[in-house]
Amino acid sequence: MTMALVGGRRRTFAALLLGLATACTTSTTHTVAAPEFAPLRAAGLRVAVLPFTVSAPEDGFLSAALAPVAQVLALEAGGPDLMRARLGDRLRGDLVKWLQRGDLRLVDPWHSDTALGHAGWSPQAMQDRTRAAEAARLLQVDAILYGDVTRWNRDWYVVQSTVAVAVAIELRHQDGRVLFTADRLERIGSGVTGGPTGYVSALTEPIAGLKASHLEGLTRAVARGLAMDLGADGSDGDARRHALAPHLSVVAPAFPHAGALRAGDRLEVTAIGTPDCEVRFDLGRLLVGVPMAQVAVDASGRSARATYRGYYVVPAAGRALDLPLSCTIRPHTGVGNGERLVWLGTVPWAPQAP
Amino acid sequence: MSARRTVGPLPLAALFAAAACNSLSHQVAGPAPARVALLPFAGTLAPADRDLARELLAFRLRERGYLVQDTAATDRLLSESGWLTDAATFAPAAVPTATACTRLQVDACIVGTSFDRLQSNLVLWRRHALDASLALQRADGSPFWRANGRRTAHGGLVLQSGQLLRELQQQLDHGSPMQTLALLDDLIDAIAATVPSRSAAAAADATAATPPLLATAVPMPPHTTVSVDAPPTATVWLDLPGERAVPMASVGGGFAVTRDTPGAGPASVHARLPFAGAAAALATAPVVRR
Repeated sequence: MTMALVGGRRRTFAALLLGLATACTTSTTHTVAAPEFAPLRAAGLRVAVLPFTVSAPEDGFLSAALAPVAQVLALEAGGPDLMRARLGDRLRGDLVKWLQRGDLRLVDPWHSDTALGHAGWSPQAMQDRTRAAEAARLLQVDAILYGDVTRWNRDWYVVQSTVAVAVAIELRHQDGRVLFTADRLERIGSGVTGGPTGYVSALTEPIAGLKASHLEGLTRAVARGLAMDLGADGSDGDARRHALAPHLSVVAPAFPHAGALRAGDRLEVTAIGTPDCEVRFDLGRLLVGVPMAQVAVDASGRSARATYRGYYVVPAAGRALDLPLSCTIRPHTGVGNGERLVWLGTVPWAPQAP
Repeated sequence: MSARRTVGPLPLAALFAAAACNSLSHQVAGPAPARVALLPFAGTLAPADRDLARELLAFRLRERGYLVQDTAATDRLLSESGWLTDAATFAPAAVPTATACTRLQVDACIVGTSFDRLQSNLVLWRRHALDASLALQRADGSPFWRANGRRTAHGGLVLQSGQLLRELQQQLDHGSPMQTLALLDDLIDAIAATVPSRSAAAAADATAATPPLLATAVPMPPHTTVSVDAPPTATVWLDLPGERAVPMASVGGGFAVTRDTPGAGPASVHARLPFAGAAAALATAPVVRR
């Protein structure tokens, strides 16, 4: 009986090790994109990200078995319950922040929450995927992104511990069709699967691996990974977009006179770059995104190039301020990489005196 | 003797690496302010990464119950006041906190200095670190909170305590832009966690409804000037036929912009109140032509 028990334990332990062998530091993702997703995105898909649900199972085993090492396991911001309640918001916010650095045209969450809230939608209604079409209509977007935190758990097996975070997202078109889904799992294993143990104890490494910071780190890694899943369109897509990224070659201002600009003066900015794009200029952080219009296209050379012109009339005079001038070019669709070009000089602007 | 010389640097490197680990210290004094603005961060980190850190911190602070001013509004107001010219070379020490708080209409400002990146990789020992120093200063100049933090991705075949497979994997990531962003994310999260939380109810007390906008267009051929009555801390932009999202400048107590007279078609103005996240933070109004 004893032998059988020992043998069973050995088999269980071996199976456990085998199972964990792939769990050292893993990142797995499964994405499914509808055929129409890529062309829709290329046309400029406008997306609202609604509040995430959290369906991750309770971490019961861990809290019961490892209570004595609570110092190690404590989560930073007020305990697991509070963290769990705010997890959906955190992941949604992180994902939006990363997506805003990418290609999709996102509606700010505060705007979508406010608009739906004013329309009488409860948080539960916002998470109801069957109402995607209704939400899209209300928010005037092309698609709605839903998310669910499916894992946010830690496991400890004496010589090995794992921390795992998983999120599933689903992008629904305004007509209710599912355009894109992604399930992403990030996991860190600490202990025997990290390699041959050296001068850190084989027992302390798994416990150290359960640190709350690992869980937090994975939470953020999942958001970053999902943003890449959603932002990239496949193996050759990135290269194609890079090759087609619009380009600016010249930025130059035209001043009406020497010295600081005065109230009523018209500052004109000219840029030359890829045709048929959206070009805007910034004056420091004072005026951001002044639109420029395409005024001419020259297709005689090896590649076509366009001249863009924009202007701003100085609204009020005050103390002179030397502001940097820069231009940004992006595809008109809002999709794809852009480029920013800074003019080597400063504009002697005269802002309103405080 | 020569054996000692060979072995000597390793313990030193180990000691140095141990000392260069993650660190975080902070101080808090007095009651928490409600409305805060984040001044642009300074340091040797790339300007785009500093901007990202600022946005991440703003997001974390909103989570903790603070009313954080829209960074676009902060930057515009700082520029109008002459304190901000080029964000890449912004010097927060040159901004008088009291005057800035008054101008920005906030209770306190977050001043971020020395956002720096340190990197080295000797294979046996590697380090990629980000440093940051932040302070939340009240309008009266007294500090409410200050924090210094460092996040380090360090290791190496010698120092990774036998976790060989993981170390080989991490060598590939060392110093990559994604690792920088991950460290930055981690650093900001750790720093934000040291800011005392405010209750949601306290945050809600300042969520005022958006005041109605009144926008008028006055033609002065060949131009037309559009004026808007909006709070001076708002961010306001104009949509015209053929032109979208023209930023409006603060003039007097409102906003104005002069454009070439547009063709027929609807024109509208949009205003975002500075404390994004508050209910009814966006207002839109048609432009009335005179």
